[in-house]
Amino acid sequence: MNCEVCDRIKNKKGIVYSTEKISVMIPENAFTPGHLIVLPNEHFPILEAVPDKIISEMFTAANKVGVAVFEALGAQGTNILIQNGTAAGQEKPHVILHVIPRKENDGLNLQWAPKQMNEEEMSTIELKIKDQVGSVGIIEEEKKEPVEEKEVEEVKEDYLTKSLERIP
Amino acid sequence: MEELTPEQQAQMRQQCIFCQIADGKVAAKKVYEDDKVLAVLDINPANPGHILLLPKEHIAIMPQMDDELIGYMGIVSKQLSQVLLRTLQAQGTTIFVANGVAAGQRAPHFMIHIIPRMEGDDAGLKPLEKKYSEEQILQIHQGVYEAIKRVLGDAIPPEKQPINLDQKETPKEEKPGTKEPGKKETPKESKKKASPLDDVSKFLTGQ
Repeated sequence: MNCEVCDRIKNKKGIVYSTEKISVMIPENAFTPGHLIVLPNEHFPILEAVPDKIISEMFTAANKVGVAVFEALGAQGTNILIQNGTAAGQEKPHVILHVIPRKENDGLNLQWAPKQMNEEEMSTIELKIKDQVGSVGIIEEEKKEPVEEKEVEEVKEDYLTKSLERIP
Repeated sequence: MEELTPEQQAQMRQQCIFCQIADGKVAAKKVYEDDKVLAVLDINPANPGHILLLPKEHIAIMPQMDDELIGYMGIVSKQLSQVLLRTLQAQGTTIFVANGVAAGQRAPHFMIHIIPRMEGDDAGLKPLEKKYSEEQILQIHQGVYEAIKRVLGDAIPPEKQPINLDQKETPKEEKPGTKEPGKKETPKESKKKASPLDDVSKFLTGQ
């Protein structure tokens, strides 16, 4: 696995905070001074691959990191940005949540030109999306691992049969 | 959050267009709703299918939100992103939040933007990156360390700067006998050292 972000996490480069599942880091390539990133310690290439519990922890941490940069850097605002997929500008093959401190006239352009859509186009899209939101709002259960117990038993049996075999 | 009287809350909700939408008083194209959040289509979208995900409760900016709700909104954002990829054949999604006018916040109600993206589209939100030096990274780390520790409850301290004989800067002074574990350079002290990074230090000292 050749992920430079994973390497940076492993080598603890520029990490300011870390839990079992996530880390907060100063990126090597930044949008603005004080830009911090929140990421899963485990390698996930896109947002959809990240388990719900980790996403939840990332957003909770991002909220607090936002407050921290506000206080520490005299920021007047913050942006949260996830570039999910190369079409959205994703540069590294690892999910990254950006916390970007902002000041008036800092020269950072995070705007878009709004498009005009007519009623029919909007309604078509509304229906398409509504049709597929059945699984939204349902949080994944954490996966359990019952397999381990079985393995332990098998090992025990081997040991017993082996010791039986030794008896002359 | 301050406690408001029912009358004050009602007044606040009347003055906020997104609360009005959540309360069903103003029409909107709702694509998802549950007891905590509401997702509607933006009428001036960056791309067709641009979703605004809002808490039903009136919350102006992210720091006002409790951990559980922001965590939940993160999960729903991921799930809605997945829906956009599937239903609109989007090739990617942008998840975006603006806290404060300086960050581009235009409405007084917190929202997460979930925007479907296509290769080469003109929806922007792709800021340019500038490469940081090790020194810059250390300065940022020193600048945010205390605040991160206070807000998150824990933080990893910045590494001490190694004495580099090649540099013109004087090495750190060490008072003999008085080792103060945990004493960190303040941002002001690091600014005094020869540093070509004007914008970084200005940020750190709040200029």
